[in-house]
Amino acid sequence: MTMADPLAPLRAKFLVRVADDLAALRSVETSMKDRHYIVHRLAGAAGVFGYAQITDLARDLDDLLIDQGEAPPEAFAELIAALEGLG
Amino acid sequence: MTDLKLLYVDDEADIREVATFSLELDPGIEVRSAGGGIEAFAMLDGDVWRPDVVLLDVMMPDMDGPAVLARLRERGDIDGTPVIFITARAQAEERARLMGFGAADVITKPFDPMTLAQDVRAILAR
Repeated sequence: MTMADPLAPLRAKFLVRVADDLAALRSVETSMKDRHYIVHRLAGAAGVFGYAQITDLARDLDDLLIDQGEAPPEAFAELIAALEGLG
Repeated sequence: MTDLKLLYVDDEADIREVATFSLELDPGIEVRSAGGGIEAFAMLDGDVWRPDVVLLDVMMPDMDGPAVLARLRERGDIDGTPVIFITARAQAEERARLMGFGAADVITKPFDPMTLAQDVRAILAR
């Protein structure tokens, strides 16, 4: 017998929001400030729901954006690819 | 019966929800949450309820965590309440910076939802 995952309903809500985040990160109309906000949020939230790889990528990107004010497109592309893998 | 009143301040709805769930796994903890500093102070101004501990996100759009802590310290009714920062930035320098504001400790996000309440109690028991 398996135990129900108590976080399952919250994880489902998180994944709905991730879909919105993914759309925003893909859009050329999303400002860097909004991109950074999404990245920062993913750095803190994804790992709570068991998505450690997303947190690692988002945290590295968050650090770059805070320390340097910018990040290479490849770093965003890597995070986007990882988010696509959740679907 | 609760023995610890906790105010959780974080602009991220997902995290507020999971943190509240996690903290309430401990039946002794009563959790109230706010989506930012402005909401937190409005809550404190409009209620006699006072927390025994505050968990405070660092990077928030309206007031950042250190600004909220500074304003808490200006209030006579809550100036001695322990504040624990909660942050996605894990570097030692960031932790040292936050401790410099007078925090009781710093918890790194992502936290373990199954042990968050124990972690808070362990910090307060020191």
